[in-house]
Amino acid sequence: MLRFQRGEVSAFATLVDRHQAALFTFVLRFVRTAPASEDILQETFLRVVQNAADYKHEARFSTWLYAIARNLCIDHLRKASLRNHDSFDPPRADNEPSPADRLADPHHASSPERSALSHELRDHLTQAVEALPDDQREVFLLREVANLPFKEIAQLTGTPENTVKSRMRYALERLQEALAEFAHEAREPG
Amino acid sequence: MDCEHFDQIVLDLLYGELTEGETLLAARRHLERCDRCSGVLSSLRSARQATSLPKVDPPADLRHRLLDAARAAQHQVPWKSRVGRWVSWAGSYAMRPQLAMAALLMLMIGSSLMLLRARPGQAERVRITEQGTPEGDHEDSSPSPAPERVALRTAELAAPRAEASGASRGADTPAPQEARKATGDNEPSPQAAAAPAEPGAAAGQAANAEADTEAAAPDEFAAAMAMYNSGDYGNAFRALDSVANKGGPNAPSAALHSARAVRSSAGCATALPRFESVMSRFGSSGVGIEARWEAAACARVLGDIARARQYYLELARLDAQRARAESELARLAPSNQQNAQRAAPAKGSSNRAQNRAPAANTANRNPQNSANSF
Repeated sequence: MLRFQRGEVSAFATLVDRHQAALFTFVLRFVRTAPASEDILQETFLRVVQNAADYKHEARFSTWLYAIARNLCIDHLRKASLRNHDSFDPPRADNEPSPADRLADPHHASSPERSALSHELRDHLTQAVEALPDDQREVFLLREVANLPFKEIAQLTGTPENTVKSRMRYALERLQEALAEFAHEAREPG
Repeated sequence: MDCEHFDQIVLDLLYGELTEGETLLAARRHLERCDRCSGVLSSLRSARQATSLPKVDPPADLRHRLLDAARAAQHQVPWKSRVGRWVSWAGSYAMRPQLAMAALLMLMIGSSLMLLRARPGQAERVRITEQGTPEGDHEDSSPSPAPERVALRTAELAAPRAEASGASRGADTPAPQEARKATGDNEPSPQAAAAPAEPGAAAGQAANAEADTEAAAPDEFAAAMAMYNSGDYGNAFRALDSVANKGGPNAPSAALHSARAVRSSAGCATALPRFESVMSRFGSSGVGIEARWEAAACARVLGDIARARQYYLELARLDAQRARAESELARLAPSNQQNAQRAAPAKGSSNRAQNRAPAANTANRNPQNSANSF
């Protein structure tokens, strides 16, 4: 980031290569739709370019990057919640992954040789993550995908650190229950 | 550690964020004896392993779109933001402690150079050398000049003296010889003998110079003068020399009295160069004039009438000293004749006899001068 602040355009490409996969995963699991995730990802990096002079090296770059992405995701979800009232699209079932998600997940389409159980387990996990309450999903994604420490998550979200840990624990327990339920159903089909 | 405390740190333990060693050890000890907490940690650990989300790569063309958009946005960045970017970058360097320390060091060196100034009196000394006019004793607070500088000044003073005296001076006392005397052996000779005399009225002018000045080291000067007044000339001249060499307001008077102490202890032969040095240093000031009187008297004592006449002629140019100088010049004529008469029969005798006779004669014949001497 220091090199990019000095005006090296190639340094920006390095930043993109280093962070785009994790950031896209975070945004995709946050807003649940691939087109919106791509727009948010592009807007996030544009904000980095436009506000590079304001970035202080007191905080990690990844914390700053995910703070921008999180704010854009929240704005998107807020606008989407307002648009849902006027949407003509058929509502998607909670447990049904969207076609965009399936396209966005390369493992979903590129690994047909894998076992159906593993495939379904991954889909089930994705659904379980997206079904988490927003505050728990946010903390879970920031910790597991963005790999931010609890202290920085607390600063980023403006939440006490103990509350962040509680949300993370609830998220893990809920996901574990969902996976256990899936495993139980897989053993006893029908 | 109890179970409640463990619940607060279990996620830190799970994600490796527990940095305090003591807490980590306590948690491990608690896990060894608490099945419930070890079960909680094991359950969370398996949940974490099971819920690790695979990363999703964005579409391949998204990277190119990102870079193109970023490049376009970078061109659209207003110049204020670009300046701000450079200022931010430069500021990150400027705020480093090494640069701050270097700037502070340069500031200290610069301020020290500004505070370094020439010593007082140095400029006056240079100007006087250029003009050939000696400075006043009240302006000279610097230490006594080096012997080479004294010699130079003596030579400078001797040159106009030679011009004034013309042929009457003769070739026996050229200026370089005077310079050599001034830089020669100024220490009193134990073999030389002369009767000590009390300070005379001629010291009044030097006393006036002392009166309006505060000594830089008054104790040292007072102690030296006490030795001088008590007749301890051998120690007095050293102490007075020390005061004169240190400079300050008492330096002129100390130099004059030092020469007088040398004369009292070692005689005029040794004291004459000292008087000449004092008069070259302090010129037309009170101390300088007094030193010239003393030098003339010593020259007469030594039988160097030409030199004595030269000094009296120089003094006669000063209005305040003219009457007395002309009186001394008038007395020099018969004294000169007597010396010439005595010099003829005394030819071949020892130099000591030559020196003693005029000294006695001068002392007996010139009460005013003797009153001015010691």
